[in-house]
Formats: sequence, C-alpha cells, structure tokens
Amino acid sequence: MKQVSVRLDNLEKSFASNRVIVQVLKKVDFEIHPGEFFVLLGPSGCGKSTLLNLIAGLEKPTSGRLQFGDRIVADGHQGIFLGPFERDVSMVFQSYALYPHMTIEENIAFPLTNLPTPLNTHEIKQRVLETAKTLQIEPLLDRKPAELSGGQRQRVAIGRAIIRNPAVFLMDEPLSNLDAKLRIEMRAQLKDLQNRLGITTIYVTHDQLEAMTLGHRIGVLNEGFIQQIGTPREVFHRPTNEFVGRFLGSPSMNIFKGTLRETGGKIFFESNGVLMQLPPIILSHLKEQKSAEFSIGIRPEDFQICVAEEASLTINPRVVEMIGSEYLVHALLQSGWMTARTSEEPTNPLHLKMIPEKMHFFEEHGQRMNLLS
Amino acid sequence: MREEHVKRLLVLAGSLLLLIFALGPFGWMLIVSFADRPDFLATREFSFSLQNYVDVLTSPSLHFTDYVWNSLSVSFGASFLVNLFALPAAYAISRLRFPGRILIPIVILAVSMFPQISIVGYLFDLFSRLNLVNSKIGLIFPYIAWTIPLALWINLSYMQQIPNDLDKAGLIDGASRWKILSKIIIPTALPGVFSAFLLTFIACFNEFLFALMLSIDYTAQTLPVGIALFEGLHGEIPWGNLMAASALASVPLIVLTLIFQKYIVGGLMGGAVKG
Repeated sequence: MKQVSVRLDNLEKSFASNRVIVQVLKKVDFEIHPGEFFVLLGPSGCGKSTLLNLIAGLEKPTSGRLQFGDRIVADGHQGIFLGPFERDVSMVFQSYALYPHMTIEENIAFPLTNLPTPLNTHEIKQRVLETAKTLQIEPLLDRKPAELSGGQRQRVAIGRAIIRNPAVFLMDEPLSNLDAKLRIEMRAQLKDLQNRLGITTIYVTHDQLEAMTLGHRIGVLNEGFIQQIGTPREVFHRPTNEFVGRFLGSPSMNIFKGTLRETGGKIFFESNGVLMQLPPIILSHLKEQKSAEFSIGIRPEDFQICVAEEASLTINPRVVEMIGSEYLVHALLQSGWMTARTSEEPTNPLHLKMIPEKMHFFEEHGQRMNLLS
Repeated sequence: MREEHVKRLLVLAGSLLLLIFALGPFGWMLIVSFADRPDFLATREFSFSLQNYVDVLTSPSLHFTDYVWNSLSVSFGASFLVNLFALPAAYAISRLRFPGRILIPIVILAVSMFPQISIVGYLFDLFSRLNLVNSKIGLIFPYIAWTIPLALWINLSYMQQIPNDLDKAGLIDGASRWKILSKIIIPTALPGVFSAFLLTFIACFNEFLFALMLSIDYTAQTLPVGIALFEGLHGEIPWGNLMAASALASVPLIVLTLIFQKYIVGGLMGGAVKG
C-alpha cells in the first residue's frame, strides 16, 4: 500500500479568455499528509475543482510547484509536468464518467489495459473480480452503466479508481448526484473504504456536513484563496475568519456587525439599532475596540434561553420550525435574519443569552480576534 | 367542431399538395420507366413493360454497371476518407485548446459556401496537368474537399455533447488521446459518426457538376452523369432507359434513407447523444 504526501507550493492558476485573464487560484500553499482523508470545501466557483484538476494533472499550473512525496509532478520554473497516469492518481467524478458503451467489467478493467507492462486477460479478470467483491458489485459486471442506479454507478466509478492501487485518490463531489438517504449511506461506506485502504485521499465538496464527517482535515477555499486548514473541530470551533465561521454549521452562524456604545453608564454592543448586553468577561477584553467596528459571531445552538435580566438579546420570533426535539427560531432584525436553536418551545418575546466561550469575534476585515484564548 | 374540420381539411390539402410537388417527378419517372413506349401520352396507349430495366442492366453500350461501380467506389472512398479526417479534427476542436480552434471550423464553413461552378474550371485545369481527369481519384479529392465541412460540423456537434469528463476519466486511466478517441469517444458518438458518413455518402452519390466536368467516359463517370448522357441508337434520348436507370439509381438511396432516417435527421439536427 502506497502512502504519499501531497505538497502544494504557492500554486496559482489563471485562465485567459478573449477579453480578460481570470485568476482562479491564488498562492495555494499547504501539505496533505500520507494516508490522510483531506477535504477541500468551498462554495461554487471558489476554485476547488480547478485545484483538484491541477493535482490530477488535467490542468497545468500557471506557477508554483506540486510534489507527491519526493517526486515533483509539476513545476512551472523547471518545466516539469507529469500527466495523470504518470502521477499515479485516480479520480471519481461527480458524473461518475463511466464509459457508456462498455460493460461494468470492461469499465473497471480499463485502467489495467493501459499499463506500460500489460497484464494478461486472466490477471485482469482476477483483479476486476477482487475489486467488485470489495464493493459488492459482482452481480453487475455484465451490465452497462445505463442499466444501473446512481449508487451502483458510483461504486463502479470507485472500483475503476481503486483497481490500480493509486498513490493518490481524488474525488470531485461524488455524492452530489445521489438522493439524501443514499448520500448518508455512501458517506459512511466511503469513510470505511478509505480507512481500510489507507490511500491519501483528496475530496472536493461544497457540502459542509460531508466535509465535517469525512475529513481528517478540511481546507476551506473561497475566491481562489485557502481560508483555513484544520481538523473539523478546529475549523468549526475556531474559524479563522467570518467566511469560515458562516460557511460551516447549519444553520449558519449569526454575525452581528457593530460597535461598543456607552448608554446610561453601561457599555452595550450596538448592531444596527439593536443593543446587546455582553458578558462582563468579554467586555473586559474588548476595551481596545471601543470605537472600532467589529463583528460578533454566534451559532444558533450557542444561545441559551434566559430571563429578561440576564439576556444579551431579546427577539420577537417571526418563524418557528420544529425539527424533531428542537426548534429553529428565526427573527428579523434590522441587520437581517438571525436564527436560534432551542430545546424548549420559544416564547414571544424570547430572551437569549450568549455563552462567552461560544462567542466568536472578528475584526473589521473579517479576521478572527482571539479574546478568550 | 366545424373549425377543427376545416383545419384538418386544410392540413390534409396542404400535405397532399406538398407530396404531389415532391413526389410527382419521381412518380412520373417510375411510370415512364415501366411504359412500353415513352410517348404514351401522345399515343394514348400505355402497356406495362420491364424491357427498359432489362436494357439498362444488360446492354453493354449503356455502361450502367460501370456507372454504378464508379458511383459506389467514389462515394464510399470519399466518405470514408472525409470522416477519417473529420473525426480527429472534430475531436481536436471540441476538446483541445490550440490557436484557431474557433476560427478553423468557421473558415471551413465559409469556404464551403463557394459555388461549385466558380471553381470547377480551375479544378479541370489543375487536374489535367496532374493527369487526374477521368479517374476515380480525380473525383475523390474534390469530393473530400466539398463534403468535409458537412462531416466536420456533424461530428463536431455530436462530440460537443459528449461530456468532457469521459476524456478526463480516460486520461486518468492512462489512455492516450488516440485511444480515448477510438475506444471511448467514437463508440459513444456512433450515431453521429454514422449519420455523418451517410450524409456525405448521399452527397457524393448525387453530385453532378464535378463528375460531369472531371470525367470523360464510363471509366470514371458516375451514375448521375452517365444517366444524363444516355444516348439511343440514333443519337436520340432514350427516355424509357433513362427513367429506368434513374429509378434503379435512386432506389438504394431511398432504402438507405428510410432505414436510417433516425440517424440522418439526428445528424441534421445537431445530434442527440447524451453522455
């Protein structure tokens, strides 16, 4: 079993159209550890698929270097560029990209027919059978892709990818085309497979729940820049900036932008006309921020229902959604909608307090302020 | 209700008119080919006869079988070679990035709009110098140039509908571009490949002007030219034989078109391949 690291050194990618040059990736610089399940997470258009294509060898970087273990697979300065097969990567596509005219057996066998030292028919058949057994798709070998369900096609795509025992396994939103129930099932199977095979895996998704459940580490991407890299716990509990804070978690983190204001001898946080009472320990750390604008982020689940005297914030719920044993309470403030998650049925008005340890602070440009670290 | 009846009648009448207009000449051709004498309208005597067909197929002076062989070999040869060039060209234009990939198909399309008559004189001059007049090769070359735009655009429109992911998967799986084209793309685009071949074949089979100007006798003349130049014993036009030969020449094309109409219509409408 091969386990290689993947090192990206100041990788950049631009595309030139007739009228303009678009820089899709900007100074991407990080390392993926051997055997790691690394998730690239970001919204549509952030450059994550382009980054995956660069790692796969389907696109050439504009500048920067890419290394698998000790091997340089792409370097603009030195004029090195290895193709996908030479890099020993395999890939599962969002559309699965199964060859429609070939049987499942032929699809899975196809990578083995392109080896520099060809295998004989018997060996190929053996390897196909072993792979099909691993993925429980032996009964499907004689069929064509059009005769399979979405989940079956996905397993065939995975089979075609793992049959070569690649050094790096790439997945481009492979669960996007599946229905919700199947997605959860396949997520668990994918995680189990990666644990068993131990191949360095890079997984691209826009679904933050997939990222949190699958990845050993997550790289959050936005507008071509890496925003943060860390374990799911790190990116969720200590987002490096407002974007990461809002992108992870469902429903999204509430962000209140405002300044400190003194009224009647007391200091409040004022956000778009709404006055919030902050915990004393927080206020003591915010002394330097007296006149500067900053943001407070708090996740819906990190509010606590309290009495009026203890409340940081009092809201008038506009929409209440019951989601099993909890409630999602939506209120429309002057700054926009906010959401709280409560275990009790909300009253109107609803008094909420913010737990200091669960509050996030971001300075004017969106970067994290570590007040209680 | 009345309005619907009138509408239906109008549609029926319109369709009948169109059919008569389109099929009328063909019907007349069949009637004359089966007539004992071509001037049956003047003599007002029609008797059914197969003699015209017998004459066409057996008379050595009419050279019908030579014309059939020339047409088939030139049309097959040209269609095969055209698609041999057009397929990789369509693949490159739809998949690869190179300077001129947008301009080239547009220029090819523009050049294809030149009227044949404007270049046939030059072609004759060039081919005489190359000793290619009155040869099958001498017809295949201009046919290739003439039908390449059609073949290129049909193949291009099919290939553009095949998802790029298939190519990427092929590259990841270690296949070369040629292997991707031959083992993955062409089998997936087979309806388009087939319809491009068929349409170029039909175009070459029916072509008249180049064949007329670039061939002299039955060694290279194709069916359309051969039939048009049919001569009777005394130099008159043998209408009965001519119509029989025309009927025989059009039957294979009609049969091919009817059997493969799905592909031809698909090819003309720009492909319906779903990857």
